[in-house]
Amino acid sequence: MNSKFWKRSLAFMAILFAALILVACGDSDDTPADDNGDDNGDEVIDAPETGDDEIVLNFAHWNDQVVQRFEEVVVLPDNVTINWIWAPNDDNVYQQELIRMLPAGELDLFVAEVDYIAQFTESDLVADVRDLGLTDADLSYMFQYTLDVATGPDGALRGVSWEANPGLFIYRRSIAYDVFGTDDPDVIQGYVQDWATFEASAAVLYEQGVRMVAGYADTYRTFSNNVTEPWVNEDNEIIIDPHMMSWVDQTYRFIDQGFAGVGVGLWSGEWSQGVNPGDTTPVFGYFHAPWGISFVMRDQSLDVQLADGGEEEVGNGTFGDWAAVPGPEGFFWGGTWIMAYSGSPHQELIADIMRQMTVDQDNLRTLSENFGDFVNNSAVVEDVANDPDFGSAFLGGQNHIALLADAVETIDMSHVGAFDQAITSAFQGAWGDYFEGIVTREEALDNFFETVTTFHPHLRRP
Amino acid sequence: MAKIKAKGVSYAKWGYIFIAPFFIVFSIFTLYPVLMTFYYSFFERFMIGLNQHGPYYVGLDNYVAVLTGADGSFFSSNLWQYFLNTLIMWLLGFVPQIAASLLLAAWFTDLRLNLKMQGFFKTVIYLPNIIMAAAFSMLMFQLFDTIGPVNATLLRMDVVEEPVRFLSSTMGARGIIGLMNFIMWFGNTTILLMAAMMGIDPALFEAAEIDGASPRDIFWKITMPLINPILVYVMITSMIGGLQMFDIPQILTNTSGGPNNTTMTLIMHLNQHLFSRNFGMAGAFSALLFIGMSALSLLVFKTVANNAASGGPGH
Repeated sequence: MNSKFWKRSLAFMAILFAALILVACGDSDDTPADDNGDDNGDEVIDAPETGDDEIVLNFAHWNDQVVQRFEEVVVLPDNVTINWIWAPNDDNVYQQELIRMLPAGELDLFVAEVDYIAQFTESDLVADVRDLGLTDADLSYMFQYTLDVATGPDGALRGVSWEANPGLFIYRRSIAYDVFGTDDPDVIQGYVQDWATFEASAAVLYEQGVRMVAGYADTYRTFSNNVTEPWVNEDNEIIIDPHMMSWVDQTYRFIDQGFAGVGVGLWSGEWSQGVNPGDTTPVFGYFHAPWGISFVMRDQSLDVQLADGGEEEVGNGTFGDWAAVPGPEGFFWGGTWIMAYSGSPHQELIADIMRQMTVDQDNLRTLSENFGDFVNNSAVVEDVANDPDFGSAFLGGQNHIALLADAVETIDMSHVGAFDQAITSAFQGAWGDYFEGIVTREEALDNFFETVTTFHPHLRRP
Repeated sequence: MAKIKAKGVSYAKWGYIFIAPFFIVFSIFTLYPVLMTFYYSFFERFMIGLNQHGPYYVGLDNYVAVLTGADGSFFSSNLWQYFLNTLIMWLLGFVPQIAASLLLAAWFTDLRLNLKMQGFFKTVIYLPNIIMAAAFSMLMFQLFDTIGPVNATLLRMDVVEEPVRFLSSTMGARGIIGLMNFIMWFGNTTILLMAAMMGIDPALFEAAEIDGASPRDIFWKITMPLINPILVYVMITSMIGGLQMFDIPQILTNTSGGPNNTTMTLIMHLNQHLFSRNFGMAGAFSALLFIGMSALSLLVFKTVANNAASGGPGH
C-alpha cells in the first residue's frame, strides 16, 4: 500500500514535471537548434475561432487612429468580430510585439508605420495583397509612394493605406500678420521657401520674441526625407548623410541663437505648449503631416478641450489662427499601412476589409470629411482639392488639400530602410545632448553609434 | 518479510515530497533559465528584423565585447560607466534612506517618547512603496518638467529666472532618481529596523539610563551594535536591489538613460540588448553581472558580519 502510494506520487510528480517542462519549452523558439523560424503558417491552427461560424480577427495597432476609422466605415458580416490588440509605439515596443506575435501566428491583421515597415515588406509572413484578391484596378487611384513603401524586394505588395502623409509647414496667422505684415500663405511661403530664407526669417521673428520652431527635432523630418542615400548601406554600415549633418549644424545654430527652444523634444510639454502659448514664448510654426494637424495640433490649440465642452471655433485658444505652406523642403511623416498575416485562414475577409478601408471611394470621402485625412485616392483628393466650399476650420478656412496634393508628388521613399525607427530615435537623442551643450560632437557621434549597434547588432560603424 | 519491510519505512521520504514542489519550480523557473543564460552567452544569436541570425558558437567573444570599449581596452568599456551610474544613484538613495530610517525607527521604538498614532505614521511612510515605480516615475517626470509645477513654483518665488531643465543635467536626473528611491524605500527599511530595535532587551536601555548614559550614547553604543545583523541584511538586499535598478530611470528618462548615458544603469543596458533579442551579448552581460554581484555581496557580508561578530557586545 505504502509502496504503491509512493510509486503513484512519483508517477504523478513525473507527469507534473513533464507537463511543466512542456509548458516552459512550448513557446521557446530560441533554442540554438531552432531553424530560422521559417514558419509558412500551414500548420497554424486558427485558435481564435470560437464557434462554428463565429470568426474573430486579431488586429494589432498602436493608437486609436485606425480603430476610429475602421469603426466609421467598415461593415463586417454578423459573425465576424475584431479583437483589437494594442501595444504602445513608444520605445519601439509595438514593433517588437509585432515581431513576436506575427511568427507565432497570433495576428490576422496589423498596421505598420513607415519607420520599420521594410522589415515586414521583406517577409513572407506578410501576405501579398494581390494574392488576397486586390486587383490592379483597386490599387489604381492610390498614390505611388504608398505602394512603393509597401512593396518588398520580390515585388510583392504587402500593405495598403487609406491615407498619404505629405508634410506642410503650419504657421500662426496672427504672428505672420504682426511680423511680416500679411498672413497670406502665398506670401509667407516666400519667407520659408528654402533653408537660407527660413533662417533669415527666424532671425526676424526672434527680434519680435517669437521662436521659429518649438524645439530641436521639429525640422528633423524635412531633412531626413531629403537625403541622398539610406541610413544603412549594403555592408550593414551606418551612413550619416551630409544632409543630416546640415540638420545638426542648423539646429545647433537655431538653439544657440534662440530660434528654437533649448531641450524641447517632440511630444514634450513645452513643445505642445507652443501651439497655444498663452503668455509664454510663442512659436511661429510646426512641421506636420495631415494627421499632425487633425490629431495633434487641433487638441493642443484649444483653451477648452472638446471633452470639457469646448468648441472648435476661432477664439478658443489658437484654433483657426493657423495656415499651411509647403515650406523649405517637401517631406512626409508617418503613415499607417494595413498588412495581413499570410497564414491567416480568413483571406477573403481580410481582402474585403482592406477594400472597404482603402479602396471604396465613398468610405474614403467619409474619412476625409470626418477626420480631415488626406486620403490615399487621387480621385477623391482631386474632388476635395477643387471643391470651393471645402476649407479647414483649423487653418482659417484654407483648403490645404490642394497643397498636400502637390506635396504628395514630391515624396521620395527610395531611401527608407528597415531599421529607421531605432536609428531616428538614437540620432535625435544623441544630438539632443549636443544641442544642450552636454556632449561634444565626437561624444554625440559615439553615443549614436553605440545605441544603434546595441539595438541592431548586425549594423556597424563604418 | 512484510513486517520487516514495514519496519524499514523511512518517513524521510515525506519530507522530500513536501519540499519537492519548491525544487521543481526552482529548477524550471530559476535554475534552467540561469544555466541557459550562461549557455547562450557563448553564441552569436540575434534578430535581423523578422529573421533570426545564428546561433553561431563564438566562444568567449561576447565576454570580450562586453569587457572592452571602443578603443579595445579594458577600462574604456561602457560597463564601468553604467556600473558607476548605478552605484551613484543607489548611494544617492541609500544614504539618506538609512539615516532617515534609523532616526524614525529609534523614535518609534523609544519608550519615553511613546509616539501617538504610530500605526498612521507607519502606514504613511510605507505608502510610497505601494505605488508602482512606473506611475511614480511618470509623476516625477511631470512634476520636474520645464513647464511642470516645480518650475512654476520656483519661477513664482523668484528662486530662478528661467525654468530649470532638471532632467537635462546629470546631477538633476541622478538626484531625482536617488530621491525617488529614497522615498520609495525608507518606509520599508524603517519597519525592518524597528523590528530589530524592538528585539533588544529593554533592560539594557534601563541599565544604561541608570548609569547616566545620554540618549546619544544609548543609540550609538547599545542600539547600533545590537541591530548590526539586520543592518547587514538591509545593506545587502538594498545593494542587490540597487544594482538591479531599472524601472525608475528607464521611465523617467524615457529609456534614453540621458543626459549622455549618465543615468543608464546596468539593467537598462541589458534591456537594450534584448531589443534584437541578442541573447548572446545579454547572456554574457548577465553572467558577468551575476559574478560581480555575488562577489560584492560576499565582500559586504564578510566585512560587516565579521565586525558584528567581534565588536558587538551581545556576542
